[in-house]
Amino acid sequence: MPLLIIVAAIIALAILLIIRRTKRSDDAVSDFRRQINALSSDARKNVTDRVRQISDEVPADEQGEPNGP
Amino acid sequence: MARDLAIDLGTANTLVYMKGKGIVLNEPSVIALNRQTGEVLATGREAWQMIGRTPGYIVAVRPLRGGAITDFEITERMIRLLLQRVGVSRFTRPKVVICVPSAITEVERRAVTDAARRAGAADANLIEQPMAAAIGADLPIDEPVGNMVIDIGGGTSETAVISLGGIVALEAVRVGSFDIDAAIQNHIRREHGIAIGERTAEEIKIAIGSAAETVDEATAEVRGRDLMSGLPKTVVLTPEEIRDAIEDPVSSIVASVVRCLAKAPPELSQDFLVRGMYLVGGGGLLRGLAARIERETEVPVRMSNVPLEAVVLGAGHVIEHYDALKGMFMGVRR
Repeated sequence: MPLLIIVAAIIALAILLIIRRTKRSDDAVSDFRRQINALSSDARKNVTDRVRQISDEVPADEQGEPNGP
Repeated sequence: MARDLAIDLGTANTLVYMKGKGIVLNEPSVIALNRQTGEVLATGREAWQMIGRTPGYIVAVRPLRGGAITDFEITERMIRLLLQRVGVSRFTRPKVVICVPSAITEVERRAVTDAARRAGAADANLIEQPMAAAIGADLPIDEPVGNMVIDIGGGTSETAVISLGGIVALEAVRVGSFDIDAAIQNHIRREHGIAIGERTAEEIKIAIGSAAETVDEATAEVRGRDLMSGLPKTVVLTPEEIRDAIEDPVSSIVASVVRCLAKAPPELSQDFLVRGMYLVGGGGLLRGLAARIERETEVPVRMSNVPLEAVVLGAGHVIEHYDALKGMFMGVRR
C-alpha cells in the first residue's frame, strides 16, 4: 500500500512538471508573438504619424544644430 | 495618475516623450550651477547659452560624457528638474524608459536607473539606443530581414544590425560629434595659434565641416583669442583644412560601421545592399558623412526623416506598448 502511494505521487509530480513546462514554452511563444506584433508597422502607426508631423514642421536641412538647440 | 515617460538621455540633448502626448521636451543636456552654493541656476537651453560665458562663480556643465554619467549628483538634479518641467511631482511617479548607449557598463546602467528613480520615477528601465532608433526610424524590425542603423550621437556612435525585434550584431565606439568639435578646437589652437570655445567649434563644424568633399564649399571666418598676445584675432578657415582636422574621429566612426558589417551574418548582409543602412543622430547631419560611409562600405546610406528625434520616438513606442515590449529592456533575459 505505501509503495502504491509513492508511485502515484511520483506520477502526479511528473504530470505536473510536464504541464508546467508546456505552459512555460507556450508563454514564451505568445510573449515573442506579442513583441513582434507590437513592433509591426500597423502597431507603429502612431510613430509614423509623429515622424510625418515632425518632418512636415521642420525641413530636413533646418533641423537644428547637432549638439545644441 | 502620472503619464509614463520615455527619455533619450543624450550627451548633447535630452528629449522626453510622454505617453499619449508625444515629444514634450527637447533641451540640451546642460546644467548651470552656482559654484559656491551648489544651487541650480539654469538647465537646458538657458544653461547651454551660458557655456564658456559665465562669471567665476557660475559653472555650466554637461553631466554626461561619452553617453555615460560623469557626475552622478548633477545628473540626478538635471533629470529631476526635467521631470518637474513635464509635470512629474512627488505624488505622480511615472514609469520611465531611458535610452542609453548599448556599450555602457553595469555600473553606468545602475547609475542611470538610480538617478531616474531618485529623481521621481516609480520604475526605470533601459533600452539600447540603436534599437530605439530603429523603431523610431520606422524600419521593419519585426520581419526576418537585416536592418542596419547607425546612430551618431554627441559622445557615442553605434551601429547595429537588427532582425526579428533583436540586435544581431553591434559595434559601438565612444566617439561622437563632441570629438569632432574637440578636433576642430585643437586644430585651430595648433595651426592658427588661437583659442576658441566649444560652441564656436560646433558652429564651424555646422558651417563648413564635412566628412567628404561636397558641392558649393565656402570658407569661414572665425574669431578667437590669440594665444601669444591674448588679443582677439580673426582667421579664415577652409573646408579642406577642417576635413583634415576631423579625419581621426570621422575615420573611427566609419571603421566601426565597417566592423559591424563584418560581424553581420551572411544571410542578412545581402539585405543591406538592397535596403541600405539608416543614419540617425545629430552627428549624422555632418555634411558628406553619408556619402563617405557609402563610399567606404559600398552599401547605400539613407538619412532618417527625423534624425534627432528617432531615438525618443522609438522609446516612446516602447512606453506606449510597455507590457508587450518589456522583454526588450536591457538586462531582461530573452
